[in-house]
Amino acid sequence: MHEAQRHEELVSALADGQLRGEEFARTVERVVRDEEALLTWHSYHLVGDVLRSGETIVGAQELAFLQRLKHGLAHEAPQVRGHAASDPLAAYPQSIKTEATKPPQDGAANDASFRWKVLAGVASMVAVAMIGWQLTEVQQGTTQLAQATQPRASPPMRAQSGPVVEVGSELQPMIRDPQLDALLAAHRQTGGNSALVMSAGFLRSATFEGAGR
Amino acid sequence: MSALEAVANKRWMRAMAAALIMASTSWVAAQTRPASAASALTDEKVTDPSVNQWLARMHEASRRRAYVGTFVISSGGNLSSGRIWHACEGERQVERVESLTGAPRSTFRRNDQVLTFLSASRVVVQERRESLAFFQNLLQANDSSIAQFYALRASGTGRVAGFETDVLQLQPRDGLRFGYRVWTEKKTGLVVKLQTLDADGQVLEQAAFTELQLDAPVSMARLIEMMANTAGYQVEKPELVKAIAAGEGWALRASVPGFNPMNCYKRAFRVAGNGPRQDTLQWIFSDGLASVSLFLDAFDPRRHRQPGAFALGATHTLTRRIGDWWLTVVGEVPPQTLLAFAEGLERSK
Repeated sequence: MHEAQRHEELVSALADGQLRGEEFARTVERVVRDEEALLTWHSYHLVGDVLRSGETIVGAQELAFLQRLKHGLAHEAPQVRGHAASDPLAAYPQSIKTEATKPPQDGAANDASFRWKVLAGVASMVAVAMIGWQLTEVQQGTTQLAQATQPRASPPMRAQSGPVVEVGSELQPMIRDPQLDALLAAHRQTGGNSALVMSAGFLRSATFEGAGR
Repeated sequence: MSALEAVANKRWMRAMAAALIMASTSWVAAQTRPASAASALTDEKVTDPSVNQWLARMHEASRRRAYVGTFVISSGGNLSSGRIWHACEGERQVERVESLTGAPRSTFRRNDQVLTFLSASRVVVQERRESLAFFQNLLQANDSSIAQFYALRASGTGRVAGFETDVLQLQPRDGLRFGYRVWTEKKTGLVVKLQTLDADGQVLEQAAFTELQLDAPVSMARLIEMMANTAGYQVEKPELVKAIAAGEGWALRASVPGFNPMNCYKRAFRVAGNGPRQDTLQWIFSDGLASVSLFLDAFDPRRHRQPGAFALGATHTLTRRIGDWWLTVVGEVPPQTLLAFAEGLERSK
């Protein structure tokens, strides 16, 4: 079998979620490194998306966007996607379903395009051994804090208080700081669990890549 | 079937190759809800015990299932992937996680005992995760604090890693915490995908299984055997000592709504690689779903320069000087929450 054909099959298997272990890691690396492999991977997703969901896919633009992300963080235009309604809370009282709040959008604003962030993440991961912290700014003062504690009438809404820069909304300087990484690792080891993600918290720290490890 | 259609039929798996992942708490959807929890929620201030019950069921389902899966976590432009083996027997839990990205390492958890094998350095780090028991107790006690700050709503259905899922959303009731969207496998309730959302509904962090085998024949004995085999490795235990914040001279003038103190430790970090060890106090708070750590160490102008705020996916960090001390606040919360902690912290002696 030609090597090129073998590589294409691996990319296909990656797209199908069939790869494991070393093969998975090597193929992800190849997709990030190799322009042709990236295009193949992109094509599989694009074709599937068009045939199955009928969503408007702006493939070329997203791919160009991905290329830009490979050289740093960038922002993307939010996309809203609806989906079929179902009621997994049928066994639960009306109290859950009749929240005194306006129902939020069903899909995350950037849900439809989030997969591109993922691949951008791969690029970052390969290129950078340490964590890149995004530098933000926080306005000092109590007014913003007071606003933040107010009940939210109709989520989702923009956090009123505002520290200023929201993650992913603007291109911000990245910094690398081993001390921050070490404290983050400590936070995730001893404090980064929750009732919702007890196991997820464990997985997150188990896969955490930083100076502390 | 055309080749094009064949490709399209694999789309759900393809999407997962790019999707992220994880978790393993669950909700047993088939169970009926106790009538005692059927109180209606008509006021934002009224707590809803069903949130806790839902969380408790998710947790219980994950504890009672054996599974093997590959997951991906995306956070702030960083991608991590790993493979997990989970076995359970009564109350006993054993997990193994092999990192597929970054430096090779294997992490084993047996109940609250955690061992991380770092094969490159031939070091194994031994830790204890007390917080796991803390949240389990919180749910079992049916504490209403989570429902006071988060609302639960159904958000449709979806398909993740080949499994049909229910999608539910935990919406924060104020601006001091993030929201979550959770995909639970319909039959078992196992969480197969989890997103952390900001106030605009933007995904900050995402974790998902790309492949999952439920009720897999995972041998608990084999995992325990692997975990115990530290031959050839140097065993290291982080220097972690229980502490009391007030005893160390720290207090919060005003509590941050919803966040209660969980634990407090003194731990030693090595400064600059092989430099001297630096004692740091870690004071941990949680609202049940998100946690915040306050790190305090002696101010050192060589290491602590400009105060600042940083973000990594859903995790935010704030640093500032407080007299002779340097504060670093870390948590999976909006920056304003970290600011509330920083503004409220005071030296009491």
